[in-house]
Amino acid sequence: MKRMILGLALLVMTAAGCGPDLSHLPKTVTAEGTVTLDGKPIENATVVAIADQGEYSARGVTDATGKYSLQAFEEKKGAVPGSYRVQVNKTVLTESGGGEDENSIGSVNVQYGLPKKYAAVSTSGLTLVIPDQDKSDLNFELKSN
Amino acid sequence: MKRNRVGFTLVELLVVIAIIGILVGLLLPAVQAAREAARRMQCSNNLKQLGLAALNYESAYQRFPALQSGTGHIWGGSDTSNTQRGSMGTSYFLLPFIEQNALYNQLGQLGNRNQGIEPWNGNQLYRSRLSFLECPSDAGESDPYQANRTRTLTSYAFCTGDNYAASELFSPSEERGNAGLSRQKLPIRHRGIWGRYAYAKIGEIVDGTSNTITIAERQRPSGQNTRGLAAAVAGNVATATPLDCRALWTGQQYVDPNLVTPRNDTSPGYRGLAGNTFFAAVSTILPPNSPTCIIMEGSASPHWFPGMWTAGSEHVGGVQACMADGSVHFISSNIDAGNQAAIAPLGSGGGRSPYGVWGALGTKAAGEAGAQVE
Repeated sequence: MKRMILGLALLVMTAAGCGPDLSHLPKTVTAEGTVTLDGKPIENATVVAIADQGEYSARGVTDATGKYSLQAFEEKKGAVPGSYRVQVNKTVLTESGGGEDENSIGSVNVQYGLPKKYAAVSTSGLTLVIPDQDKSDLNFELKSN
Repeated sequence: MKRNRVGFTLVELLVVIAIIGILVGLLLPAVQAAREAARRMQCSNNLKQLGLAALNYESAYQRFPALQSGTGHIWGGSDTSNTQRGSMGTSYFLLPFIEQNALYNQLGQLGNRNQGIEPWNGNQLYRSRLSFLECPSDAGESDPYQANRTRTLTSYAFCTGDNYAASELFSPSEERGNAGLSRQKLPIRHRGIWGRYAYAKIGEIVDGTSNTITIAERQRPSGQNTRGLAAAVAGNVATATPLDCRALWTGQQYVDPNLVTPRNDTSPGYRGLAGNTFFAAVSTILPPNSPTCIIMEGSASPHWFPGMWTAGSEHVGGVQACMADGSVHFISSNIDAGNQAAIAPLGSGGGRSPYGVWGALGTKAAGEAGAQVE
């Protein structure tokens, strides 16, 4: 038993030395929520939170239940506490023509999947305050008119 | 009682097999690493050859070639055909400087009226495999979505800097028909060295030739929904940010495989002699080995839209890039890429890059002479 504890302690001590040093990055907290349009959850909508001050902007994408989780850094999860302006966008794409016949020129149709105004911070009117502790109800209830 | 033993006991055999197993386990990763190192070296050699070819071109003509240009390809029964003219890329113009004069001349004969078919569709010359355009680390041999649309393979692209580089200034109907020919030949200037019908002088690189990328790796995708392919972001150059693109990427693939585009036409890396930014440009916006996105709205052929043409490779941890002085550097994926929430400056705009050292390396005259790779 004693030996096992010693072994475990050794493992923890060595494992602590592994992995990249993330101490240069600021503290992050969990920042989650859902995106709904007229009450319905939206899948594959991108949420971009642009920091009012500083450079730690964050992004996330919604799953099938409309849930997103913001991430500011490649190296670790979560976003930095602070105030943000937010843009929410969804891309809908359909393709036609083209294919294996080289002489057929295909075309791609790209449309906004949410009202266009939400896709840019200048028109979205969406803001977000991430407090100092984990928060999971940072919801965006978008309206189609 | 003593028996005469011939052969080994089971235990001895198992021990020997175990030892061999351990040795192979040790050796195999080392062999694979050595093989990738060799591929990377070949890859950087190609990059150097292309960089020197561009500099030789500059010596000969006092200008770099354009990213996208052509000999006024007009093809078809009548001049009103909506053929994509002026779509030959820098790698085509560099052919004579890389000992491919014959191919250059043959391709140059095509596409002019009554002189044969256009240089792209159905033309075997346009499918020529050129070893110096293929990084051996990129495994893809045929277009992951439309195998029949595989043309010359390439792993390299020409740096357009830190703006959302497009291949057209007007809508296709205003630009690609005969009436729009003069518009189609208008230069498109980017903050990097290369642009459509824009022939940069070496003197324009005021940030310093050692600090400005000319050519970098842009990975050829090897499968569906993999890195190197482009995804669409609904929007325009005045609203889209790099984070809009980054949010669509899980680190291995795009969150929605239906956003990969075009799936009905040629994918990036599979039309090596074309000059559209979609095929031939690399942007210093998103850091190396991030996703690539097209920014568009509406219905059109997708090869002409602006985008973030991200550098990428199969090498661990970064990409290789050739500077305007001909030197090749390895650039880490962790390079400072500045404020990824910033909307990219316009191609005609001045000022420092919002995208940190990475953005600064891509621009030729943004006033960041101090930016260096190491």
